[in-house]
Amino acid sequence: MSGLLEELLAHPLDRSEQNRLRARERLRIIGLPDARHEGWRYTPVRSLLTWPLHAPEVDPEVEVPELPEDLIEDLEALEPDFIYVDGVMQEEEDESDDEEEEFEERFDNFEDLPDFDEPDLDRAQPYSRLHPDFLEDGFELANIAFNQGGLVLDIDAESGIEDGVDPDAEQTLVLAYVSSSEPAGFPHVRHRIRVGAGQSLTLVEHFLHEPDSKQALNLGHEIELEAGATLRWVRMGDMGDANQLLGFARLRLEAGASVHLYELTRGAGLYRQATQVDLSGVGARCEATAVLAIDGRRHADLQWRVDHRARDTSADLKMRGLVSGRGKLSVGGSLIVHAGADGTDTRLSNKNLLLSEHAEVNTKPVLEIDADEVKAAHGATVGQLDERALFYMRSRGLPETLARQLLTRAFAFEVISGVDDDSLKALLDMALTKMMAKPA
Amino acid sequence: MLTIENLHVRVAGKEILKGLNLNVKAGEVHAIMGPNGAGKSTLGYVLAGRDGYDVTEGRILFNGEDLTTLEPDARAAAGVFLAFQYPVEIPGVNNTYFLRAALNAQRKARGEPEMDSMNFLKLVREKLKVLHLKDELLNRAVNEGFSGGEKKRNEIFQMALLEPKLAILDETDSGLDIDALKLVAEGVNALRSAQRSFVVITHYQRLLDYIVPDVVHVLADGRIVQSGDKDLALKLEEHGYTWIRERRREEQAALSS
Repeated sequence: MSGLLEELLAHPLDRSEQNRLRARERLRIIGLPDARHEGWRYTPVRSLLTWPLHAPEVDPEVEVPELPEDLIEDLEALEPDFIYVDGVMQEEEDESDDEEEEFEERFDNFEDLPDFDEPDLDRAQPYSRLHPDFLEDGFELANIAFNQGGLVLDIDAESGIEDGVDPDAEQTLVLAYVSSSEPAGFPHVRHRIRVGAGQSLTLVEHFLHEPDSKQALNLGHEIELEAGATLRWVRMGDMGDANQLLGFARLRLEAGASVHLYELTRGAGLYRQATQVDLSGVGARCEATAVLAIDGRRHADLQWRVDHRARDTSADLKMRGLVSGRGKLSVGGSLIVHAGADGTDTRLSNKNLLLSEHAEVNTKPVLEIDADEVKAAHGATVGQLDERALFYMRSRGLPETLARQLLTRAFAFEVISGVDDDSLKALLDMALTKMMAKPA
Repeated sequence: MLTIENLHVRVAGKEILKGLNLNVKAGEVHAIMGPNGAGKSTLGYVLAGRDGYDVTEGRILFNGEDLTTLEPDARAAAGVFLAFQYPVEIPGVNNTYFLRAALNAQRKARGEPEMDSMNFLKLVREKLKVLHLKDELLNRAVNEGFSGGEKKRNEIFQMALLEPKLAILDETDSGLDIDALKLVAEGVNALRSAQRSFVVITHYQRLLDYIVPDVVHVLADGRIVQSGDKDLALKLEEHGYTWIRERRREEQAALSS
């Protein structure tokens, strides 16, 4: 383990950037986590260290992996704005003029983004305002120190008021990540997104894979929502049996801002997504819903943490796990109400279904309250399909497999039943239907 | 139609039915009464095929076929229906979808063509009317948020839709007000026919004022201890179950002397 870390730290930094240096120094001191770290108790760090912790040096212009036809069709159907193959953003190669125009049209809204190669890092640096307490994970520090870039997106009032564009119009950004069958090591990608005061963004991330792909991705998000801004964030997909994802998302919300996160996934060989939301402004709100269907020998680890740092902030977290085969799921959910965050309303519900004898779930809900007049609730359950309901359905003539399917489906869909936006509902429905179609 | 011979059933290691005999002919309505803990609900579950209700002795024949070898869904397709004492709420499963899936699963198992949604809705409307159930219940999840009375009426509605050959009503009258009781009885009476049999499990004689049985049985301590016509129910109402117990004691004393 130390050998891989030393090799990583020996990599030259291409920019003298303060954040990278800070992260690198911190990483040198604390090293990579192991099973003694509470957040990594149930996820085997060792299996993440089977390949170098960095991406091989490749020129993306030359080495674009060939993807199979059906995967390309799947990708096109998603109409992504940006595609990352093995952690490298693909240049769009439009053949027809029509498509090119359409492509440009779609990017009109993001016309005044900083240049992707030379991002204006002073402008979009939510990271520097995040609490230093949280920079204690070696893998996240590695992502900050060694990432090969990512989107830098700055949505402000001006970018919304282009010619003829409704300033209140919802902006949507669709990203797709593909794991190809080419060996790609362990690329680190880091996106920085700022949603300006009163603006709103829908961010959709799709995860796809080639069947025989075997690689890892360290994916970081720094997201800042200014006062009154709204982010709807949907992450969905299936990363394959042999791939690994390490995800670290940091969100900071100012007064009256809100985030609605939906994470619907079949996971990966090893899938670990840590998401931390800082509700730092009065009345900021976080709603998050996850459905994880983990089968085979997959391992998923979902770590969510919400920090209430201001008055009248609220959070509602719902996680649902469906684990079958020899799948393992670990769920951590922490609601931290800091001193001064009076009037907080915070809740967490984690329910899990064990659908086979060897499935495993570990769940740890945490509630810490250092403020007054706080409403808080948290609960976690691990169980099996309701035997009474199964018998009831079968006694009406439904075969057992169909009864199980209906109950499992109902369990998963329950958490999105309250979504009232039609297009979002359709997207979530589609994602869950696709997830549940495979035998869980 | 239904022949039960010397039925012994264990639940969680405890013997609940201890040599029960029952013979129900096509078109008959049999009432089963008895004190708490006599094994009435166990009989219903065993007929429907619930897990954990193990037949250790005896047999159950349904139209000549050994019922105990069939899975619950196969029993339903063969024509057995249990109206639950406590209908189960199934959040997230739409009532209409559930009913249509159940009906078509039964039809498929019997080798009949599936019913399309047009004909299904027509059938649903027809049956709803009889039980005075609100349309909106169909759009909700199965039994979710239904009142106690609505749940029981929904059971009878399902029965009307699925048209079983043998219907077992497990305390369908419990928790019903007098109006709901009459509606349920109407629903049952509308289905009575020469081809269809009913086993009506109840604590009280009141339901039998509306669903008039051909035979009344008293189930106590895992056996049928007394059978008679509808007047037996009236006597029970008058004297209570202690009367039966005393009579049994007298009988046993007579036997042993």
